[in-house]
This record gives sequence, C-alpha cells and structure tokens, in this order.
Amino acid sequence: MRFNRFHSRLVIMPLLVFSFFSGNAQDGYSEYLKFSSDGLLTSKVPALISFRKDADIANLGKRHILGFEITVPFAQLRQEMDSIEKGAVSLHQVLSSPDRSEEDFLKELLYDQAADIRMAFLTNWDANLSLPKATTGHDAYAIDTMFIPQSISVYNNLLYLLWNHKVPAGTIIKDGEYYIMMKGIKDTLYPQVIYDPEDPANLVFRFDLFGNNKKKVMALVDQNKLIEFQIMKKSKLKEACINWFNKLMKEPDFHRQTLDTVASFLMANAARFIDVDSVLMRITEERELGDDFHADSDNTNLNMIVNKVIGNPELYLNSGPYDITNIESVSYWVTSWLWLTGKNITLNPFNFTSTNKVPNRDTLKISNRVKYFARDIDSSVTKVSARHFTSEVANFKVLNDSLSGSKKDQETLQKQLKLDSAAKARYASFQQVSSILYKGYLLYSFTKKSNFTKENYRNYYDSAQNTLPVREKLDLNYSESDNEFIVYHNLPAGSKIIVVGNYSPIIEKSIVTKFWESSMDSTSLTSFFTNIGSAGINLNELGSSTPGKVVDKLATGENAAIFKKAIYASLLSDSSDRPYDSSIQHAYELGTAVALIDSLNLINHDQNKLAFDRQYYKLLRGIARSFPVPDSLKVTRDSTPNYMSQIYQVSSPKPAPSQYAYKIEKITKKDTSIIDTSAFNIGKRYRLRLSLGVEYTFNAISQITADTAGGKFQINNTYQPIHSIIALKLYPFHGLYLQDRSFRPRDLLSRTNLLLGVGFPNPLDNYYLGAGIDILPGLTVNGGVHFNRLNTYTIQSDQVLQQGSYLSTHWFFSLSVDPELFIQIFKTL
Amino acid sequence: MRIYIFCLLLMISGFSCKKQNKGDAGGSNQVIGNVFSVNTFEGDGLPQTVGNINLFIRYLPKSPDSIQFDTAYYLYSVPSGPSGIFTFTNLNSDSSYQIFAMTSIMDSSGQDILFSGHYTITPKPTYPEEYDAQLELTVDQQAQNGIQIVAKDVNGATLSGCTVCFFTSQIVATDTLCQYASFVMTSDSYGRVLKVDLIANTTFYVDATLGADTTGAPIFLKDIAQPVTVKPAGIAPLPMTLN
Repeated sequence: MRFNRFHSRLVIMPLLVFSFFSGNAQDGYSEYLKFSSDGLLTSKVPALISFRKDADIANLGKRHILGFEITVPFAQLRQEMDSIEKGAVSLHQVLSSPDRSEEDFLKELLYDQAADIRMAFLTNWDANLSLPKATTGHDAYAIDTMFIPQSISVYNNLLYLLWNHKVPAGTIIKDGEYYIMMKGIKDTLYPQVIYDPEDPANLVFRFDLFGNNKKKVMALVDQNKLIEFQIMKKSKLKEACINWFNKLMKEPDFHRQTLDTVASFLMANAARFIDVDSVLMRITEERELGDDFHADSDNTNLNMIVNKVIGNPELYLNSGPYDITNIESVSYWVTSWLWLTGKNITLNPFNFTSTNKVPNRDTLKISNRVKYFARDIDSSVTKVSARHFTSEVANFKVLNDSLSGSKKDQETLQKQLKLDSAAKARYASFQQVSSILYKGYLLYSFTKKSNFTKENYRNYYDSAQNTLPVREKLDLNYSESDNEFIVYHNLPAGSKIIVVGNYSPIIEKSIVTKFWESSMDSTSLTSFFTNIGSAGINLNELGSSTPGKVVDKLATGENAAIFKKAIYASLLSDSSDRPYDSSIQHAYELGTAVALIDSLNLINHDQNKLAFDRQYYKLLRGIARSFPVPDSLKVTRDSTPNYMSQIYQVSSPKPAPSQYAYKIEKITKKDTSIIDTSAFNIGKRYRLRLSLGVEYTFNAISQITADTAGGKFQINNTYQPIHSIIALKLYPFHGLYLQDRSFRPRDLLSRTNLLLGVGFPNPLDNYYLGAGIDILPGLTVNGGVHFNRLNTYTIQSDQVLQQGSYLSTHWFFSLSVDPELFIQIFKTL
Repeated sequence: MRIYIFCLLLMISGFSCKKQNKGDAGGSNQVIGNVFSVNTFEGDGLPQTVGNINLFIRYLPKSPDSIQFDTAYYLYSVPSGPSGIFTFTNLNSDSSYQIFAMTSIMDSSGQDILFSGHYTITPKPTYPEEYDAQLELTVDQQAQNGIQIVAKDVNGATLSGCTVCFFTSQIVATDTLCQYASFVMTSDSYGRVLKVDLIANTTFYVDATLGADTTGAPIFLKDIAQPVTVKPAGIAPLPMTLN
C-alpha cells in the first residue's frame, strides 16, 4: 500500500539549490564562494570579476575557476535523517504485519518505495540568476545553470560514507588530499562531494560551472552591471507530497468522505476523551492485566483496539451521513487513514492542520466546554462502567466532579481546545517548499573599459561570523566621476543597511604641493615617503578564511545505529522509471485490503477487556488530540533570503572637491548598530590647471635687436634657451585627479594634458604648444613646440630701413608645478 | 583623441613655417677676421694691421663689374679692433657677402695714402678662434692717383737717398736745383718715391739727383726733367736712371 504512505517530517536534503556564477581567472587560479548550510557566506567575494577578452570566455571550460561551495555539517545531515524515523507509517501497513517492528517498516518503506523515495528526494539544483538586459552591441545572454541531478545517489553515497566512515572502494578518486566521492555521470551534472579527512565534521558540495567538460552557454552580457544571484534551497520531496495529497483529496473518494465523517465525529466529541485516560489509569491500577494482553507488542494491542472500534461502529461512530457500519469497508479505510508515528496513532499524518478544520472550538464558551466535558465524561464512564467498573463509578464521579469544577481544569480544557500556534507554524513550514538562502551580487566586467574597479567597490561583510573582515578597502579616494558602491554581504534577513553621510568641501592640493609644504615644515623626507608610500597597492586583496571546525562524533555506536536504518535508502540505487502517480495507482489497486480484514477478524473478543479498553481510550485520545487532516496543502515559497547582499551607491552627482564622511548603519528589527564610520575624499576632475615652471628650448635662435642709439649702429644678439613659463594645461580626457598620490596613475589619460603657455621674459614673443603628463599630480613634464617671435631688419648703410618679425619653431621641454608651489619655491629661494 | 591630432597638426604646421624671411640680420652665422694693409709702392711691403677703422659688409653683387667701394650702400659696418680684428654677426647662411674697407694711412713721408680692399665670403658657422676672413688692404688705385718714382743707377740698382724734385715747368726742371720744385721728396731705402693726390692730367717734370743739395755740394748722379703725366686714378710709375 504505497499510496497512503506519508512522512510527517520530510527529509530535507542538505543539497541546496544554487545559482552559479563564474568569472575568469588565470590558469591555475580558482576561487570558490563558500557558504554554510544556512546560506551564510563564509568567504570573501572578489571585488571584481572581469573577463578581459573574448578568449577568456572561450577558454572558460578549460579552466578551474570560480564556483560555489556549500559546507554541510554531518550533524545536520544526521538530524535530517532522523526525521525519516519519525515519519508516519500507515497503520494499515503495520497491522498487516503484526510481528514487524516499526523500524522494519521504515526499512521496507525505504526499500520498496524506491521510485517514490527517489522522486521525493529529487532535489532541484536551481539556478536563479537575475541578469541585466542586454543592450545594443551585445548578443543576448543566457547562463545555463539549471541542474537537475538525481541527487539521491549523491545523498546515499554520503550516507554510506557516514555509515562506514570510509569511502567505498572503487568510488574514490584521490585528488590531492581530498576524496572525491561522486562526479557527474552521463548527462547529469553532479556536485562534487568532497570529504576531507582533516575535517571530518563537514561535507563540502562543490559546483564548478566551468570547471568541467560540460558545454555551457555563456554569452556576453552587457558590461558594467551587477549580477544578482540567489542560492535557493528547494525540497522536491515536499512538493511531491503536497501535490500527491492535493490530488488525492480532490477525488470524490468514498474513503475520503468517510474519513471526513470520522474526523467530524471525533472532533465534535473531542472533549470527552480529554484526560479520560489518566482517570481510567487510576481506576484500573488495581486491576490485573489479562494474560492475552501483550504488553510488549503495541502492534498486537492496536490490532485488538482497532478491531474493537470497527467491530462496534454503532457505539462510537454512529453519526454522519454515510453508512460506516460495514465491517469490511470500515476496517479498510480506517486503517488506511490512520497513521503510526512515534508509536502514536494519529488521524493526521502531518503534525499540523489547516485552521479552517476546527471552526467551532474556539467559539465555544468555557461554560459550555465544561458542560460538554462533564456530559461526555458521564457518558463515557457510564458506558465503561456498564461493562467493567461498576464498583468504581462512585469514586470516578467524585474525582470527575472535583476536576471539572476546578479552575485549573477549565484552563487546561481551554488550552487543549485551541489550535496552538506551533501547529500553525508547522503548517506553514511544511508548505514552504523552497527558501532563498542567499541573495547576493557579483560585480563583473567583460571588458577592460569598466567603470567598475576594485577601487570603487567597497566590500563589507557582516562581522557576526568573526571570520570575515568587516571591510576590505580603507583609505581610497574617489573622483566626482567615479561610481562608488558600498556592498554589504551576509546581511541577515530582516536587516538592512543604510548609509548616512554628508559632504564637506575641502581644498585640494596636489601631492607635490603637499610634499613641499610638509618638507618645508619638517625638513624631512619622511613625510614624503609616507605620502608616496600610502599610494601603493593594497596587496591584501584576497585572503582566505577558514570557519571553525568541530570534531564530529561520527563513529559512535548510537549515531551509527541511526544511520544504519537510514542507509537502506542508499540501497535504492537501482533506477526505476515508474512515474510517481502510476506507482500510487499501482499501490491502490493492489492494496492488501482482504488480508487486513482477515487479520482483523482474528481478534478475540474475549481478551482482557480492561487492557483493551485502556488501549482503546488511548487510541481515541490520540486520534482526538491529533490535528484534523488539512483540506489541502499549498506549495509556498519563501522569497525572503536568509542572508543577502545589499548594494548602496553613493548618490551622484557629487560635489567636488569634498570629503564624504559616512556612517554605515545596520538596522535590524531590534536595534540599529553602526557598522563602520569612515570618510573619503572626492577629488575633482580638473579640466584646466594653471602651472608655472621652466622650459628649455632646443636649438634656440638668438633674438636680434638693431641698436642705432647715438648714431652708432649695433646688432645685439640675445640667446635665451631657458624661459620661465606660465601655462594653461588642458586635461581633455578624464581631468586631472589630485587625490592620486602615486607615480602609477589610476588611469594614464587623467594625467595627460595639453599645454598652452607663454614664456618670460618677453611673453609676447614666446608661445608654447605641447602635450605632457603629470608625473605626480601637480608636477608636469611637457614637450612640444616653442613658437619664438624673432625680429627681422632691413638694413642699409647702418640704418634700419624696415623692421619686422617672424615665428621660429623649436622643440621645447618644460617642467612645471602648481602656481602656489612655484610661488613658495620662489619665496624660499 | 581628436584634439590630440589637432595639436599634432598644429605643431607640424609650426615647423613648416621655418623658411621665413629673416631679414638682413637674422642669420646665425658670423665672420671673424682681421684687416691689414700691404703697401707695395713704398716702404718695406710687409703687412701691417689696421686698427680702428670701419669695415663694411654688403651682399655680394651679382655682377663682378659692379664691385665698387661704395660706402654709401652697404648693410652695416663694424669697427676693427686695435689689432685689426673684426666680427660680423647675424649673417645668413645662404647668402654671400662682401666685406670691404677703405682707409688712409700716413706713410713715412707724411702723406695720407688711401688703402682699400675687399673679401668675398660665404658665411659658415665658425668659432671665435677661427679667423675666417683675411682682408688685405692695398694702395687704392681707383680713389686716388699718384706718381711712383724708382731711382736706379745705370746698373739697375736702386738708389736710396735720392732727392726727387717735381716740377710743373720743364724749363725750371732743367736746372739741377730744386729751388722751384713743386714737391721735393727723398727716395726710400729701395729708391722709391710715392707722391699721391695730384691733380689729374698734370704733367710733372721730375729731377732725381744723388749727392747734391741746393747749397752747391757735388752731385754724383743725376737724371733730370723726366716728364710724367698724372692719371685720373691710379699710380703712374716713372722709372729713372741716374748717371
């Protein structure tokens, strides 16, 4: 009977659902974004993943590059496997084999229902990449990251590993210090399950989109975008169960309708069973149990009880629109719809219900409840005592009256009648098929010309884990044209980051000027080297972090026993193509109804009635206290990620030059905490700069002046290859960025300038047109053409007949600084 | 990038303007030289530096016939130093020049002899140590005239210390006395007498005597009343043989 087999607590596979994103890397370079099993990011996110050229993309498959890794502790796996044992087993199944233990049924369940279990364990490795729209100039994009591995095999091998604490021979590929247990076969892409002997507490599931030989489509995506990725955990088992349940509930099935009748009856009379058992226990303590009552065999006793119920339907189940007095039909559906879970018999395989199934409970007044309680107790006691307990009726009534009249009992009753909030939560939790573990961002670029750089991408991490730094970048400065992003990772659900900042104007001075000023103050080169040194590259760009390890008590006998039961699932490795629905239909048709009825008929009505009734009340109490079967289940998906990345872009346009002092605050439901307080300068991009300096002209020609003063003719030659120069520098590309403190420019074009200048003395005779570069911002070298106006004379007999001029052109080289610095130098000299 | 190309073109265009008319003193070449005089008509004939005179420079005339020592048409002049060194600067490298000078130098007899000379040069870059031009001034044959007397004996040997008398009248010249002579001069160590700046076309009758004077002292050799006509320009030679 497969169709009615449920698991109240479904095995949620630790194999989580990932989206995968990959960036390029150099040969031999690999990096994985690592997550814990609940989605916490435990490794750094690269500041920028860039594809330099098309060849990088083409060669992606040959490289071992970025991937995702998820680390699942063995303890969690064991816990989830424990839920198998607690799953509900059809009472019908149990009763059909009285001598088998519950554990045996679980084994059978796992073993025989290979197809169902396989289906149920099917875990969808779902990629969810939110890609930006492709714009013109790029092809459409697609990243094929949809994995549907039959991960039951992975899981079973994992269990096998857990059980034996060693890897089965023939399935191990020793790769370095890791044992790779599983790899993809045929067309299925499996994650690598990596067991590290050095870390026996955890298993690692690794996904390499481009690390295998699978052909993946990775088309160009428009540059300069953020990719949003989600890591999703999805339970196919839940989804399959819910779908199956809903389909079954929609069928106009006689059994289904009968079940409703039973449920209605039981719920309407729920109060009468409350605490009856304890009362009866007290009453019957003095009695001996009958010889036929098998104290050690609950199954046998259950058989007796159920048969008693079924055998006297008119006594207990005499209401409702349907004829349920037919012994065969009743025995069939009752046992088929009753469940054994945790040695408790329940009406509902789930440990929850939908709220609309208990409409009347909460509306009852306390007084009515007490009245019903008393009435039901009286009725029960009357019925029981009529058969067995005549001499004890009086005592029972006294006890009952004292109990029913007490305030305590009223409260107890009220509490029992309410559908507790935990059940509501379980109801909601079960229907939640998928949840997002992490929703994050990755910054990538496909070209060199990216607006994104490592410099303007500030990574922050939630420091709760104490394994990752709060932030990576510190003292970088920005320009007004930069895009500035503050990205915060590992933000827990329900939290958010806000950035509060303000701009304050600053006076920008070039590094050269600053150096001069500082060296004039301290007359030391220390400050210079300090300033220059601070302009170096932050080498601490990538690091690694290792989460703490917990030694796992894997090999203890207790745990091993648990796994031993679960390991049967691993034996179900033969592939069965039976569809889920057809297997249920198969089970339905071939149900062992006849055999069950036969077994029920074996029950001896003359057995010890005291024990029987005790179990009978226990049964009914369990049924009454169990939640009614929900009407229907609905697949829900939680769209709130456990952890997420939040990106914040500093508002633009930004005033420049200015200093931006900001405060990052993390706001949770409870409080607000300051993550970081810092400030950075926003440098202006100067298109025009004035500079003063000196120039040297190559192959300069002397300026001549004809002098006829005093009637004496004389030609004066003035040779002046060096001029002071005052120049206007034009930065046509990005503009000069004074915050840059390094000889190595952020971008060369920002320091490239065109020069227009005049020379001193004789500014009207010396013009300069050149191009150059700022060695440091404020210290400029230029070269170009020196236009030198030279005099011409028409001379005759020591007399100047005519005077003119022409432009002479020469190459020049100039060295210039900021005007303020030039003036200071001049003063010093 | 566009603006860079524009500026590059602007620079190139700047260099294309290199062949400009630099005027008469726009060159960078210079000529350094010295000036000296050589008198072949009297004295010892050795070069003598000529200091503190004006030297003139002009473009070389295209026709050699037009060479004139015309001090009214030149570019400019520079003075020579005390030792005759002069410098012309700012000369164009692609032009040929002519340096010329004219000056009067007093000889031993107290006459101002007019000297002149010119030097044609294509200026080249030089260093101050190099004397690129050697301007030799000789007795001007065009701007002055004169008569040169060379007194010799019958054997052709020059006679020093001869008394040379210039007469405008042949009758007076027949007298051995120089009492009525226009000029009386004495031959130098090589028997030469130079008399310049005479009225053109005048015919002089020259007496040359050795060993006699106006007081009647004995005369060893004589040659009297040799006629010579003064040219408009140039030195007219008159050889005399004393018997």
